[in-house]
Amino acid sequence: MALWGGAMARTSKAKSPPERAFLEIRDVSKKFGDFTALTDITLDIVEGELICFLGPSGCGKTTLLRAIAGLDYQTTGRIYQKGRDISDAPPADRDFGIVFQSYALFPNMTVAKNIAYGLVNRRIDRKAIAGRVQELLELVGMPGSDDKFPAALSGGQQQRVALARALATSPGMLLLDEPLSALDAKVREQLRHELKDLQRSLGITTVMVTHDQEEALSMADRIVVMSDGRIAQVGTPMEIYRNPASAYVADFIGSMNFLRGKMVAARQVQVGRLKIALDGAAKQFAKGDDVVVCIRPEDVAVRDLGKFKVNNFAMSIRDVEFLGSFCRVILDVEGVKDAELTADFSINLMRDFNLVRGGKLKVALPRRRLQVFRDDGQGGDRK
Amino acid sequence: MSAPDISGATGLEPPGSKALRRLRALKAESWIMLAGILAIFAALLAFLALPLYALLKKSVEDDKGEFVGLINFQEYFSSAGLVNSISNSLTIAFLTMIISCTLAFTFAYGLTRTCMPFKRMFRAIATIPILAPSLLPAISLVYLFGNQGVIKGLLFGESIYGPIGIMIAMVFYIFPHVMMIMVTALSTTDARLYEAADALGTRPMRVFFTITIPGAIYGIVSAAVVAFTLTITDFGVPKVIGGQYNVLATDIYKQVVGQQNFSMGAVVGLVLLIPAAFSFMIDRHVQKKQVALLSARAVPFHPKPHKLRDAGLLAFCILMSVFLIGILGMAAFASLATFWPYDLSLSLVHYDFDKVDPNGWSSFYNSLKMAGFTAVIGVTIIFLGAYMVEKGQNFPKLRGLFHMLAIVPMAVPGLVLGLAYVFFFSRPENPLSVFYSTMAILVVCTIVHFYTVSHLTMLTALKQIDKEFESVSSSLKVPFYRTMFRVHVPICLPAISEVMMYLFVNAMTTVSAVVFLYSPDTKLAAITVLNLDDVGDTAEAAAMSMVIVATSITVRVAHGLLMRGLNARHSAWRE
Repeated sequence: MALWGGAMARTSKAKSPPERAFLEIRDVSKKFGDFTALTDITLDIVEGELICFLGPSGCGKTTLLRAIAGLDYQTTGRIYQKGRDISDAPPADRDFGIVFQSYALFPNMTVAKNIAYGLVNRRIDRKAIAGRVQELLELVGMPGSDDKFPAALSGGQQQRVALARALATSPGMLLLDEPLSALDAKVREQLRHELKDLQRSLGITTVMVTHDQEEALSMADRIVVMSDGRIAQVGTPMEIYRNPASAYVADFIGSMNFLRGKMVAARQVQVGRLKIALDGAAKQFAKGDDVVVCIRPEDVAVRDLGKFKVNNFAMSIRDVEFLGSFCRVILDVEGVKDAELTADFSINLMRDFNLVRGGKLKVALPRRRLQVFRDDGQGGDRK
Repeated sequence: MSAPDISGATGLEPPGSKALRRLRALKAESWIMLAGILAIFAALLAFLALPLYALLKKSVEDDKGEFVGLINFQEYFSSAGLVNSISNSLTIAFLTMIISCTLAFTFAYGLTRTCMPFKRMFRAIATIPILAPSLLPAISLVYLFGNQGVIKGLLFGESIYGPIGIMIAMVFYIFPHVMMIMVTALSTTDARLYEAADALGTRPMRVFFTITIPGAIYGIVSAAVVAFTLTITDFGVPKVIGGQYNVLATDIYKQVVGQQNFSMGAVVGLVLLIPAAFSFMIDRHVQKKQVALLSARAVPFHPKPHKLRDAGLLAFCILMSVFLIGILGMAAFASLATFWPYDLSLSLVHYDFDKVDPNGWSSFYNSLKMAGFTAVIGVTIIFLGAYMVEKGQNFPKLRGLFHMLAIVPMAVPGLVLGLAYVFFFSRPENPLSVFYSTMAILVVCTIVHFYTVSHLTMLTALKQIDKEFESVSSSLKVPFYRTMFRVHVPICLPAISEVMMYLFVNAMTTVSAVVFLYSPDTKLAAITVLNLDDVGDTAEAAAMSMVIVATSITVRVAHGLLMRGLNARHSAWRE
């Protein structure tokens, strides 16, 4: 056994470097005439992970998914699945199942026939097919729906059938193109959990395209944030939320305050009349650089201000939005023209400090929570 | 994300090799797709483009096939009689266009914008003329207004043989086409516009001219163009009732069949092609604009009762129905009257066609055969062609080119197409000349003649099918043709049945394209009508027309029953 393993390891080493990712995308670009949809995309997808392509419409995420599937070929660049070059292979020669936003269920076939569609072609005997269909129906939580037609199903049920059909042939990879965006909010949330559970229990490598950041944050193992045909950042949901790589990512994921200013000294930025002290994150910027300072609404501190030696500012409360479990408070930054700061405060805090519209309070902007980016016009109002 | 370049593949490579690699990577099914597109493309090339080229070539040749430049055109334009036909044709087409559009608009307005009763019945009556060859109204008019006509006096001494007869018969013949476009134009409106006008206290007349007409204007233009083209290219009506009044369509026939002057026939054909192609281009342009007119959120219009308006339009629709039924009824009665006008007792003597024409009844069987083949073969090719245009994955340029070619037949008058076939297929050096004077060439010519409308109908049906089915299918490793048969064909059955009926009825009634192409063995029923009328057996001609009408009605009823059956069977999955 050990001998075998060693020999295997050596031969595979000779052929290709170790630890090749499940799917490797190398310098993939795609042009439609004069329009560049993808520019030099290089990405590794690890076996068994759920990876989300996230971005606004037109950012190239669906184009990239279709290139992986072979439904639209990339203009340049290569794609490898398990080390095999599939760059020019037609979709039928690749190993994936796909689910579309529109479900694309065949309307003239029953649920069972839809699910069995890919199996019938493989000369598997009828009994085995029927068994597999039952198995899949149970898997997606729809036992007993065999003889229904798609038109008789709800959107969520249709999506489950589409998923079962894609999984029927046990593909090595699952591609999901905005799978939940045609559903209403409640069903979407429920399916999000089910989909993630199913993916985890099957351990199937999954690529999901979405424009819904909440969906990506809650489901993905890793998120690929895309913008204008390029990858803006790749990371776990937490990394992307906590440490966005650019003002664009910071703006796209979650809510964010953007304060524009100029570096006036090392680790110090002037925003209007305020001087904001920064930590090591700002060391790449020199005096005179235009920067944008970012802080999440939930990171604005009010309690124990004594803890913070710097960045204590007086604010006035312009508006309070009650959002159930917390309040979103719009603060006017004194000393900065037209600037506002959004802060999320717990109901508890609102009560303790008696915060009402028109009132005043002191807040701190904790240094460790501040992100600094070069001001490239991205983020905030984009003035 | 930086990743080491493992394979050395950087995307920098000669562009040709990539295309080549992909071509090699094509699976068998892609080759099937390519072969299919090429085959249908080649067929349209051979049966449409090349014959038209042969026609063009013929127009600059003399009788011996020598190139003579524009001499034929010179000769044509220096002959006063021939040039006179151009102005005759334009006059007739223009006047018919005005009359038929006015009548059809009013009729359609009654159907769409009033609360008058019997709308469905009126609509059904208005489509009657489609079922008959264009010869039928002309024959009928002869019985009504001819030398022994029943209501000849209504013409106040004018002769029905000439422009008046042509125009009345043409209005009958093109009425359903124009009316249906008008109905569509008047149906696509937004009720909110009328509510807004009402709220602003606008007078009905002003509403009509500022909202109704502008909203339907593209449809009206389209209808006018169709009326003009159908009139100027029709051959049957002026042949039967034109008398000494020459038009372009009859000139072609006279030059080719009468005087065997093929080059001059080609010249007249090209002259006829110009207004047809021109109106075709206007129509395409207008239709593109029409689409954008109605937003998805428009509120459908529901007319409110209005006594005077509803009564007025009801009266008009009744009158129009009397006209349409009267024409058909006259032909029916004439075919049954034992000896017009002396013995009006009913009998079937005129239906014994073999007594007056040895190919009488056999021509009817030929027509059935031809229409059957046209419907079955035509729908197969048209479906496959439309499928490849709409759902094909590879070869976008080839598919685009094919689509363009598929639109061309609409611009080519039947007479011109038939003549082009004569020039192309009669040449013994052409390997395709084995088709000449066979049933096959009639079938092919008829399919090509009616290709465009069928192609567009099929395309519309296919466009409504989820475009991801092909992607799903290939991800499941199911070849496209399997999915086509199992999914697209069943979903498209209504359109397939519709196109088959359209092809069948048109093949039964058409004269223009096939009049140059039939042989004694393959003579068709509509041609027999023409011949019978030519030699004076008018009652028999009327009888044969009625046989054609009866056949068309049978097919239409069959189509209706089939649709009902399909709907019942598929109600489970059709919304």
